[in-house]
Amino acid sequence: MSTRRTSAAALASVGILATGWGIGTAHGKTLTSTTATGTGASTTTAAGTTSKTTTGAAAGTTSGTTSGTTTGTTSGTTSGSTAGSATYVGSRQSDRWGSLQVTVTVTSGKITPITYTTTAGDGKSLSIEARATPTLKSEVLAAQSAQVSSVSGATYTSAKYLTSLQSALDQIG
Amino acid sequence: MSVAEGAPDRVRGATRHVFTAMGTGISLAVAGDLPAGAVAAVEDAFETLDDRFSLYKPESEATAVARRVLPVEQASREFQETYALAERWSVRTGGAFRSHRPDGSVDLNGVVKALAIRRAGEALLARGVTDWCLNAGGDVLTNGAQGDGMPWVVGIVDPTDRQALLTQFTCSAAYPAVATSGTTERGEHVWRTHEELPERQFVQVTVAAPDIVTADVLATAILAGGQATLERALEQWPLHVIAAEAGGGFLATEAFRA
Repeated sequence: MSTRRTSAAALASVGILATGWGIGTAHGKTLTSTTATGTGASTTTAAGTTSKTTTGAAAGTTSGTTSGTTTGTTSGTTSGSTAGSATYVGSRQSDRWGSLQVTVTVTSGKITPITYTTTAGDGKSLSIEARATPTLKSEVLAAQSAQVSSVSGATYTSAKYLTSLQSALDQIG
Repeated sequence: MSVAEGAPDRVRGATRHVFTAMGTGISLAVAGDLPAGAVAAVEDAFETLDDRFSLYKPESEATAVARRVLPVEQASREFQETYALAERWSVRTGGAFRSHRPDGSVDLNGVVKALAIRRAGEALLARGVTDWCLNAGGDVLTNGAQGDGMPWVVGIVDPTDRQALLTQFTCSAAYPAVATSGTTERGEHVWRTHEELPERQFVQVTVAAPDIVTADVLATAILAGGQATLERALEQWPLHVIAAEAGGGFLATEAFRA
């Protein structure tokens, strides 16, 4: 006797995918998020029919460049995938960096972000800091030991970390 | 300057609290007194997120997702929101920041620590603590000033001599967050992109930004993506950056130049 069961993969392939962006700002003023739930009937497409869309940025402003010139993960537009795939469009979310809308497909339980549209935010509100220029060590601003109160460095393993820089700091307390 | 010899003792009139969470050392310096409950709230911010997102805890939700026992679509709302946040940063950095391991499993470590720092900072502010410096494994978020009114100053480790400081950054209300990524770090969220070979590869990247998530994510992304990612980041976000090249040179914005 066999019992028909819905496999996890099948569930996932028709599952509701939430694409809610957590929008946070500095100093903890707001941390809001919106969850866009694709309905089960939302645009179901055959794999490979999607296309990447980028919306150009405002011209003339210093920050007016389209973010993320490529998605970096273009593997989603696979061909030959016979499994059904569902496409979900996230709600457009804005923060200080602009707005973004992502479209996600779920194919056999695998999630692949395949398209996005983005627009730059209001460049006037941003103060973009020039360029990074080649610099010799002798040209780097020296640390003033009398001023430093904490140290930023690559994460170490716990034991290593605690016995090196941070512990040096923490003994002061 | 040698940290070992001349350890900074400039936290004037500050109260320090040190603990371990997320596998790293966390240090909180507060100018003035710490109200009851503030320390517990800070520790709780890290422990709560670690319980859900640690890949070192077999029972965590993140472990279930990574092992594909739990589909993201069925994960908690907090997990989905964090996943979406990481995906957004992946998109915005052209894939240099990644929310998946090379094997395809979901790995949100690249944002979770910074989120914990942010949340801990919110907990402090909610309790009326306004002057503090929180350092979690070398990523630093500050608020207000030191006890004597001087701004918080963060030293940046010298990648070629980890007992010394390369440079420093003076935090401000506009740039309260400093994060550093290096090739010596644990490596759980740094994968170099192969799609494009950047002109310059870095061994250590420090980013100062308006918030800790931006600083941490972009330090990771620039380390992975090299000069091309650095230049794109500077076009998009208000940042101060110093990136150390393998050959001993640096790319630095004005704030880090003598």
